[in-house]
Amino acid sequence: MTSRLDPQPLEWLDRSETLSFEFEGKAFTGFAGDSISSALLASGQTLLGRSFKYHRPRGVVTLANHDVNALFQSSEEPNIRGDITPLTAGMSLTACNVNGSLEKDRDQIIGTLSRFLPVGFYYKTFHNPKKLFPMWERVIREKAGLGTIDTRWSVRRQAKTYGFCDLLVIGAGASGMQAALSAAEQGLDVVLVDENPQIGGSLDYQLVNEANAAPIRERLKAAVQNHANIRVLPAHLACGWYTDHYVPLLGPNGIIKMRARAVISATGVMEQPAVFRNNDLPGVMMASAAQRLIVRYAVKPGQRGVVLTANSEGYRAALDMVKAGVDVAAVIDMGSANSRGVWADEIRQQGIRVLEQHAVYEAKGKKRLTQIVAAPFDGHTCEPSKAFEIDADLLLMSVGWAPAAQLLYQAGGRLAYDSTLEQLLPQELPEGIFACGRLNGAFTLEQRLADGERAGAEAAVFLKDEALPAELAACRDREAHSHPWPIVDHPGGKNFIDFDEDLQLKDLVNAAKEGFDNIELMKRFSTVGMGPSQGKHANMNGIRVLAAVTGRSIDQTGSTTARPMFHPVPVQALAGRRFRPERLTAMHQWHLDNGARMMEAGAWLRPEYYLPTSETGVSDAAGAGNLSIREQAILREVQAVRTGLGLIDVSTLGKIEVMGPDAGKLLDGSYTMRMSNIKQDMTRYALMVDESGVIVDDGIAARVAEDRFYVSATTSHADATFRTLSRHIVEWGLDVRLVNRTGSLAAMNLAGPHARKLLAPLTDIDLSEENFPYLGFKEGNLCDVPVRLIRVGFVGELGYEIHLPVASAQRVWNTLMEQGAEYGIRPFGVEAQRVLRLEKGHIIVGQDTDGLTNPFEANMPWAVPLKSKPWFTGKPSLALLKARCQRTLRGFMLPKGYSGELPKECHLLIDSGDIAGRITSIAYSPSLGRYIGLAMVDQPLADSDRLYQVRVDSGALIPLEPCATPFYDAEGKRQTVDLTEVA
Amino acid sequence: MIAFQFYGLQLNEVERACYLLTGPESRDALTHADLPVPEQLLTAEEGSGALVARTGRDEYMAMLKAGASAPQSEWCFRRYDSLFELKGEGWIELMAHLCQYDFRQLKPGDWLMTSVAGVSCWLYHEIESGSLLIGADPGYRHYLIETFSAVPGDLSATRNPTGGAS
Repeated sequence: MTSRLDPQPLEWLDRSETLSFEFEGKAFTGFAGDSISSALLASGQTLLGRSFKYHRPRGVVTLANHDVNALFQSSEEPNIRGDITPLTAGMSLTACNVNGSLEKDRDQIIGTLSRFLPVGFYYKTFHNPKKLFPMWERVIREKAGLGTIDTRWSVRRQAKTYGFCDLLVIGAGASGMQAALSAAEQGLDVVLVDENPQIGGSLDYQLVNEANAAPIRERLKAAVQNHANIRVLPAHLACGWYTDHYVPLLGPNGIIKMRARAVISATGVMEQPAVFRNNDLPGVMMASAAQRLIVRYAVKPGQRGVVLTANSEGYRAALDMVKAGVDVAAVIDMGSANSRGVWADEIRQQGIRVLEQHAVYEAKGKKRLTQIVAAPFDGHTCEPSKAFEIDADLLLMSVGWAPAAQLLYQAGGRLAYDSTLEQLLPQELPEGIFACGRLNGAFTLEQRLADGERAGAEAAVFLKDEALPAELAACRDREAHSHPWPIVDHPGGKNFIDFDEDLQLKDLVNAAKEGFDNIELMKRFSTVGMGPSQGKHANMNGIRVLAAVTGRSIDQTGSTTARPMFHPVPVQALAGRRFRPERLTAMHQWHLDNGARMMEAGAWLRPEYYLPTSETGVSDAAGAGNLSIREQAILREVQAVRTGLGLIDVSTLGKIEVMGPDAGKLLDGSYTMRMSNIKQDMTRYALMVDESGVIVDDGIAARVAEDRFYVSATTSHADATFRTLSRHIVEWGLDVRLVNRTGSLAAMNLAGPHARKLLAPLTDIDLSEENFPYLGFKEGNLCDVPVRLIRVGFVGELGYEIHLPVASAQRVWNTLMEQGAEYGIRPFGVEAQRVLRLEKGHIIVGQDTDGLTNPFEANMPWAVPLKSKPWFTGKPSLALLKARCQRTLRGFMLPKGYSGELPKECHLLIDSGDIAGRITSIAYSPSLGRYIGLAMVDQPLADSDRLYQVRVDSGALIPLEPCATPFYDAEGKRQTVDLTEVA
Repeated sequence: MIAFQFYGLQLNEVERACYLLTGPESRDALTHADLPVPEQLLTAEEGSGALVARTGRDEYMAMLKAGASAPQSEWCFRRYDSLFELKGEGWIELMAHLCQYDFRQLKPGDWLMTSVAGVSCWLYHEIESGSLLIGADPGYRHYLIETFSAVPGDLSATRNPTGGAS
């Protein structure tokens, strides 16, 4: 570890734990607490990555979560941010975006071609001719780009939690901690959040060697950690602001969705680079980056250093370098040192060379900095004729700051350029948003503490609904901490504004001169600020360049707004925990124990079909050719219902109790057919359409008593039907009560010729045809359980739907299965039910209908009593639609003996080359011995006698024979009479 | 019955006889059964070993001890809600993973109907025990048990606030 310093007072390292890892095939070690970048730098590895476009050597620049050229690749993850990602034992890393190795990247050659790749090059060159662009796009994507995604990725999700507080303070530096304390003292419930794993902010790394800061640091940290009203969340990045102070906090284990009543932004400032030739060489970094390296990771950033500064902080950094053992060759001040305060005095006293009114004209070196070229600077340009060289492997840039104001912008805050501080500062903040600290122009420690105190107090007053004049500017500094033009032109170029996108000064100048002279246009044309760091160290200088070219002020030039989330967020964090409710019926375990293959039906799980272990090898007995095991199982269930007995779990149906004097009126208005005249103990088909006449649900309405009905609804629409009925009660002012009993009642349908014979001895209900006819409804007991029986005919056989309490459902089911054995009873699933109902020509809402289907199209005019019923929901629309029917649901069969490629649901009907409809249902009918189906057919074809043609997957056209429905038992005898007579 | 413990939290499945009463007779039915009758909408009261919540103009949910007689009313319907009792100081932290309601606002005796882990639930903060009673459609019993069992694994990972208020 060649650059590791002795233990530092505030270091993040655990030196008792040494971690081994690999980078580019070489073995390295670091300490627990190291970041990837700090561990590599400590080991002397200063070349960390290659740039996006020109593959230039790059190293540490900020060490503040913005080092987008020090991204790493592991076998599982691309684009690992080395500057903030903790080192873990056994990591095996490579550099991103290299051709060959990091040291010998073959794509370096692209850099030598940069003069031929001006801004907008891709737009101008590769789009003409257009047809070649896809090829160029592949080439460009291969050459430029970041990491490689492992397409064999596995699903990873992080936790997602909800948080609440009175006041969210973002940034746990000096001002943030003080603001949190100030508000907490007023009794507010405060959350203090910081993106770093340890609180302290710049108070730690910038003022670590300031004796007067130490007791303040200790006091603030202890106070916030111990205050009964403060929760501290380190390692959490507030990455966006949403309405009503909803702020996602991205932590290492997921996102906390924090809802605050007010927010204080104490997010500080982001150090900005100086722009000069080769300002991207490894060894050139922000002064604050070097301070972080020393304080947090005990890494000596270089051996011989130069500090380029335009503020007092640069002198502080120079002093810190000296203390860390760096030989500081010079401090280059872009202005005068006279106003830099005591730190500049101390530098002078130590005999360190100070070059006033100078700037760095150029940095030199191949893979890292070896020399800088300095020259006199008049505030805007350098004087190259007087340039001179200084040997150095470290160059710190301390030329200015940009506010970390992304959240303020998102919240609707307005910032304006302050020519005293040469920085954008908050000018107007929306209600409930406060700002303090360096973000707000308070730079000295005293100013920061006072500003934090002020912001905390103002927030507390705001939350108590008291008025207090905001004094946003009360604690601001009077000295500039940023240079207004830290940019030096050079004929050789390579003076980078945007390290993410390899944009040089000339690129932005040319973009502006080409007419992209609006900040938004320039951003999109040049891509400045569009890289992974989202312009955190490019935007400010970009604005300055555009302002200079156009002759406008910074405020006139404007700024772009970083959208939430303004920092990359892992998809696993965005996804969060998955809530996918799964609803089971009372017989679920029985279904599983008996070979059911389950399928989803809304939130419910239902048996699709049953495949008992004993039948997995049974061959086709249905005569339908070479069927799969699944199809055979379904056919066996169909045959059982047709010839013996079947039992299906229909607990998923909606079950709604409708009671009250206006119950009939409610149902009359809600369903197409009249319900108020249903006789007691009888049922009626209930079709629901919406105001536009579109079918939305169907079921059965049973009359339980004069003022009481029992209504069923489809599985997936049950809740919506309950809501619709509830809404109608309110809108129509009816005296009706509803109870949704879907979850409390189970239901099963016993169907087949022997249904009555099985039920009769088990129930006290008289099942005779006279007492309990088709579509009848009875209450009584079955197996000593109170039940409701409904004579239904959905599957076209004698059938009884049994509704009963969920707690007793399994017992009744078991009894029916046991007692039904002598009749060959089988459980049947959803697929068999679909075949059975298709044979009867019954529709399934949602399968045979779509979001536009009306009852006329569904071939159900009998369910729309336009003449006999004065009004129901959707009637006005249906009255118009009746004469405008453009398509109709029609039955069809495949030709007898057909053995070719089978059509599928949703395959299109083709007529004279045009689409003329689609298949909505198709299945093999064991009763008919051929394939049957329903198709929604366009009217001209539906009205004709022509064969339908359906285009199957292979593209072939298959003939379909139109036919009437039902396909099976057209007279309905099997469900209305004693089947022993007709079976 | 289920019961499991994590971080001082305990989740038990509890048995109560649940009923929904609606209509103009519902209030009298509760009174005759010597059960509490909450005055305010969406509030609940404990009494006679039962919990009664007012969920509508004349609609009430009554959770009685298992085996207790049902209130006598024509429009009284038995429900079979799955009921869970969440005990322990950290239940607010657990619920923050499952529900976007600010449970710090739910005081003892408060009744709430909201979505927990995507399922419509009713919740009651018991006065004496301080436990959270959670009721849901019985079809979701399995899903809720699975979900409640999975969250504790994430609690340790996300339990990172420090500070005096943590």
